[in-house]
Amino acid sequence: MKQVLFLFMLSFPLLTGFSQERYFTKTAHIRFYSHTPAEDIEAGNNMVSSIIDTKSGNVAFTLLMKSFEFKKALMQEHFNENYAESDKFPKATFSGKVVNFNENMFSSEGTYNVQVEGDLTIHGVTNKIRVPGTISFTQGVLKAKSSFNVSPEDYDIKIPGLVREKIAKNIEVSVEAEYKPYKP
Amino acid sequence: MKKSSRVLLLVAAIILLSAFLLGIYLYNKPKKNIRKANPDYILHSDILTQEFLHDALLAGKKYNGKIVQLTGKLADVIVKPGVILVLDDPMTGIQCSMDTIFLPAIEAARLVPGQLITVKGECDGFTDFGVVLEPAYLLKNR
Repeated sequence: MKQVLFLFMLSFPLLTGFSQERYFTKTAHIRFYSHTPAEDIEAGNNMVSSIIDTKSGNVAFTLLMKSFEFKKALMQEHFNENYAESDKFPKATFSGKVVNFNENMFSSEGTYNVQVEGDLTIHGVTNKIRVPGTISFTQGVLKAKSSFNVSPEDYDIKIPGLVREKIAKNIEVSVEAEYKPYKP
Repeated sequence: MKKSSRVLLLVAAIILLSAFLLGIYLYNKPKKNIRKANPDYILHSDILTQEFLHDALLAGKKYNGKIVQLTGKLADVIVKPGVILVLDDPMTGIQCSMDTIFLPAIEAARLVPGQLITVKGECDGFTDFGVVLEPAYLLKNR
């Protein structure tokens, strides 16, 4: 079974240098929210896998697009079939690094403002992004939070003219992860 | 107004009303009831993972979007956020996002890692951390 995690490491070259100080979760939560005067659309995915190396600041996320849950079944169908094309592009991934990383973030308790930079791949398109976030380390529990905007256009997601006014040009994305120490 | 015009108007009104009602139905159509769904495949959780490890593309074509019924060892119970049961291995096992209507957090918290359980759920696919079922329904726990 450990082969799975090994495959994960291989698929994120930045992570192959991970030391023993790794924290991981497979239940991180990512939510996106689109607001327009015509309609608000919201979906959440609470089965997001993520791993973070507290020695190097490397971080990676992977999720299945189909695991986003919408309030309306029809919205979920449209999202998977027409926009995300989830059968063709089943995963979204992020692989990057905490830019202003220092090891003290994980050796002393507290909450730290960070900038995370890396490659975000959605719908088969990869873009470099840099987003703000916080990392907190209390009583051995590592938590990470971030909020940023993503434009569907940047990831070649075509919005038909008929529904363009119902989908925001910039989608608000929020990320929350609570990590446990990785025990191989 | 001629009789034929009245009939035409009536037919148009019926078509419009039907389209409107169909639109409302589609917009509010209920999510898949996983409890009532018949499984496409019944197998042991280990076998499903092995098939994805052996050839993720082939296994994806076979299982993605299908209802699978799995029996395996409960490895972890995560009740925040939602309810997630993990089969076989806490880190690399199968993640089942449970329909909380049928398995609320308070009941999930009573499950004990190590016990054998049977779940039924829709296979979303395979991440690098294992197979994902969502939504899923607990059939049996022993």
